[in-house]
Amino acid sequence: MLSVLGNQRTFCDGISRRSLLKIGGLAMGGISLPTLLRAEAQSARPQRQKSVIMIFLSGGPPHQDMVDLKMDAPVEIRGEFRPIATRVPGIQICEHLPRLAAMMDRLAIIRSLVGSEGRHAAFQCHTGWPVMPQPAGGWPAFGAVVSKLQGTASPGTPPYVSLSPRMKGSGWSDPGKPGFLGSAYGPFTPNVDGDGTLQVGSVSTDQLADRRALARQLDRMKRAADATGAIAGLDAYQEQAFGILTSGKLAAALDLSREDPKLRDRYGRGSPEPAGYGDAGPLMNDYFLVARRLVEAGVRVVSLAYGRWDWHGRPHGTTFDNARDHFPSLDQGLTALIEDLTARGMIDDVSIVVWGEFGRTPRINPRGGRDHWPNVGCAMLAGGGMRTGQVIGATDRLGDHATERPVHFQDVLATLYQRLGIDINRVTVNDLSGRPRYLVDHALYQPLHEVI
Amino acid sequence: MLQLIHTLTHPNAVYAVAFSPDGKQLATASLDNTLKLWDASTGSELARLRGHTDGVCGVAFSVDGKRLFSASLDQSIKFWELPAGAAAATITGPGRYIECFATSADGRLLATGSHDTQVRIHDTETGSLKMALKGHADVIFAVALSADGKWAASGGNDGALKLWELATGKSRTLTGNDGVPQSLAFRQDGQTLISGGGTGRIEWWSVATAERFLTAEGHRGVVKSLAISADDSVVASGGADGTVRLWDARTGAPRGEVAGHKNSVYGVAFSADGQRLASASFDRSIKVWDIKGE
Repeated sequence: MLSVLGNQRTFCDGISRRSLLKIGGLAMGGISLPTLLRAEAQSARPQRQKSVIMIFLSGGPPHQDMVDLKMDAPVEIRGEFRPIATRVPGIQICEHLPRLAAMMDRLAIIRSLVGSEGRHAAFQCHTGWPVMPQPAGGWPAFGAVVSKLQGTASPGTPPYVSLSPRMKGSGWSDPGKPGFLGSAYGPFTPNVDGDGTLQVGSVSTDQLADRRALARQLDRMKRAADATGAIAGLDAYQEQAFGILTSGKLAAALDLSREDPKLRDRYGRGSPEPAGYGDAGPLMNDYFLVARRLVEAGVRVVSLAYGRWDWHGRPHGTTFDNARDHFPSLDQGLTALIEDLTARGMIDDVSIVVWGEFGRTPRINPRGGRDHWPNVGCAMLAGGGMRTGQVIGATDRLGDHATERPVHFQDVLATLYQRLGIDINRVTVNDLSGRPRYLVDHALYQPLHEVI
Repeated sequence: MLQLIHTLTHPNAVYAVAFSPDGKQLATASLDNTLKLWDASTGSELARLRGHTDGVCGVAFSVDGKRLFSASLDQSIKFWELPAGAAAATITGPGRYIECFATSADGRLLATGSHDTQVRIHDTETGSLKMALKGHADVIFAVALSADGKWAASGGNDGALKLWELATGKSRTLTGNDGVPQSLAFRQDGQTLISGGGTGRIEWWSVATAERFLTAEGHRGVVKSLAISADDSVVASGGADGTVRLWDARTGAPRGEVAGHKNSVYGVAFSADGQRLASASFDRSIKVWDIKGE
């Protein structure tokens, strides 16, 4: 692993000492230099770059308390919250999401998300496939596929970044692995240590200027990579790698000290600490802003884990205590992101998806919580030139199952691929045996015609 | 009337708060797995105590102010030496979540209520388990000890509100309480138990007769926390409605309220002189209030 450690000074290019850059985990899911560099020649494409920001609500959000309130259900199902009107007549969402309600014309809500396996697996959202069975090497994450197919959009920036920290729960700490595509297409993971800064390493910023030291690091990295057989062709890109490491472009994108503090306040800032009893994503609205900066710098896919939504009830707070905590933060951060992208003229080029691995049980359990409910869940879409201001699908009176337009995880991913210009009916990637694999099961799942 | 003095924060929900006996410090317990010590007059953070591996649901100072007791969802109780904040002892708990915690005003006993449906009474000097009280059919949501350590009270998710005579371990079940009891406090004289209920009622019970003799209403929803001032004159309550309320401890008349929090108020505590109140909330904040006269 090659990392760059900030020192006590400010760089000449203005990067603060807290802006630490890691080119991480080359053999373990980090982005490889060949990947970073391969598509530089393509970066002069005339069309506007399309990107995706995937916000993973780790643990599974309660669909019926969030965007599909069931006021006609019995009290043991209904929950504590009331619906409020939104900007779109006829659509109501939770009272604790007032900013999103005011922005409903810029959202599409899916109330009928199906296909969950019911397990805590970010994998569900990253790939759309079941955890078992998988082809040898495993299914690649959406971001890894995009990395493979489209490469780098802008010199000095990787195509795929995950801002998720490492968590104890391996199911939801999955940053979106490259699977059978190989580690060359894994995400750049600047937050893998989860301390809120981008971190560590064996190469200090002082050493960045020392090309010989960098060369030694790269040699060591290459040997380690060769030993695993994970990376080929590093030599060809070694010189360019110096440029990536020293250009500062990626580090600059990760450096929020360059942002207007008022904009950070609008996003809501947040805390890098786990949002739920020692194991969860952080409720870190700063990462929404980092995501915008990354796509602005040329990253194609940014994923992040946000909060802990696995609300089984006391003693870790009732579903409603936790929802009163998380909903306003999501409300603030997501609306800020949409506003910001709109203000910068980027909203039609950046698709946003917000979802978790499943919904929650209709019946409130004796501890004031709701448990896992793979029958149905919810998702929100925004940007990307999608048709918004609508609800897709419906559930029954109890929020138990989809009654209209069931939407599979793979339907959503197919939509996101389509937004990036990738035709899921034609494009394949080869698995380890050389067999072409479609990106989704296109015989069953297609881009959502409602939004494209 | 409550006038805000300080707003303090944890990076996650705050479950409990306690003033030191001299009123100079506050201790707070959080779902972030830590406790914090604060200078109560300036609001500055003095220390963050780490060691629990799950949320911390209860905190209390020893009578001499030299130790801190904490109870955690990690199923343990910890004793901390002050002012260093070093963990001095860890008492292995019930093997299930600890949900609630209390100490006796005389400083001799502490009690926990657990998801194993038992109330456990420990000696604060040695940490030893004195007795385990069995009788509830579901999780214990609230526990209290009388000032002299003669009585315990418990409220369970089975809806039962029980009084326990610790000399014998025998219990009586009070009847007609407001749903699932969520919070409990004894008056200092040990003659009265006050309970906070599931639909917002606060009820006064005679320990001698087990009869309810007073009810106060005001909270919308669950009464999550209760405390009584050292002079037995004022009751404070915190609700799932985010409000903090004061009540006349003798008549039940409302003495003040403030919509102080954005989420459930899990803990309230008076300073020993009765001049200040602290409230701890799931909204990640602790608020310190000056209690003004009417």
